[in-house]
Amino acid sequence: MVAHQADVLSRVFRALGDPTRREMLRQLSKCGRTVGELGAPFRMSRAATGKHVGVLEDAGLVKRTVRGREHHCQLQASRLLQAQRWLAQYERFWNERLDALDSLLAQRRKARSATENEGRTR
Amino acid sequence: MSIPETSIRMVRVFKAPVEEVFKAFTDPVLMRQWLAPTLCRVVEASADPRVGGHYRVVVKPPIGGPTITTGEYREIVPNHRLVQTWVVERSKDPAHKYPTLLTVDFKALGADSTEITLQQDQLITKFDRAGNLAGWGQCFKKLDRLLVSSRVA
Repeated sequence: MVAHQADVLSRVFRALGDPTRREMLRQLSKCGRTVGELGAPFRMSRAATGKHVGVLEDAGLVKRTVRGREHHCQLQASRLLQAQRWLAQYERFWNERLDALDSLLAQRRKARSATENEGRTR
Repeated sequence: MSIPETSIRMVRVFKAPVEEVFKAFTDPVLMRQWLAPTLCRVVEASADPRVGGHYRVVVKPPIGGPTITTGEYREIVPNHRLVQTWVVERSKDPAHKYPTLLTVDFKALGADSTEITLQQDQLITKFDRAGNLAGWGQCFKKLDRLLVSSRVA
């Protein structure tokens, strides 16, 4: 089943919105880690770490494989790239809109000084 | 690889008084003159700038159906701050909306100079929409500091 882009991105941004999870992703971007290793820097319980990893997995950002007793986690870069592309798109949108606003304000400024000058010469 | 944030942020300075820049964001007569991407045109713009009020902007591209942006004003401090939801609905797929939260802070730098800081938080869930996203931002910042200090310890 193909999940809709809005749902996918929504889950990705929800996952990214937590600083602990972002730090976990930073760690995973260097190399794969076990759930235990991910939670260690935060001195977090296995359960709490598991919860965070669950959210990351659900967002498609992390893939978890069980090897014996260890749960190994790996970063899924394609979802991160999707999020980055989404952000870049909005960044472009607002840069362009604010350029347009700049032009509009310049137009209005010119029109204002034109009418002021007219008033003076009369 | 860098981990993306969940919002975009930009700072801009305009050669205009703060009242005019603020008006450009809230008065539909002005909004329709800059909110359409190149080659598109705003075919409808309405706004009721008060807390709980709504706005609607309909943009039509040269080919294809319109894009409708709607939202609700969460916070309005005239000439200082605007917080509104910004929900985009594309005609290709009206069932799926893209809700974001737009925060614009306005600062008069002079009689004819205004600085704005625009932040857009992406794909806020319906859970976030009910709450105070700005408040959560503060909480996250505190948590971040706490985590950094506990890591160093």
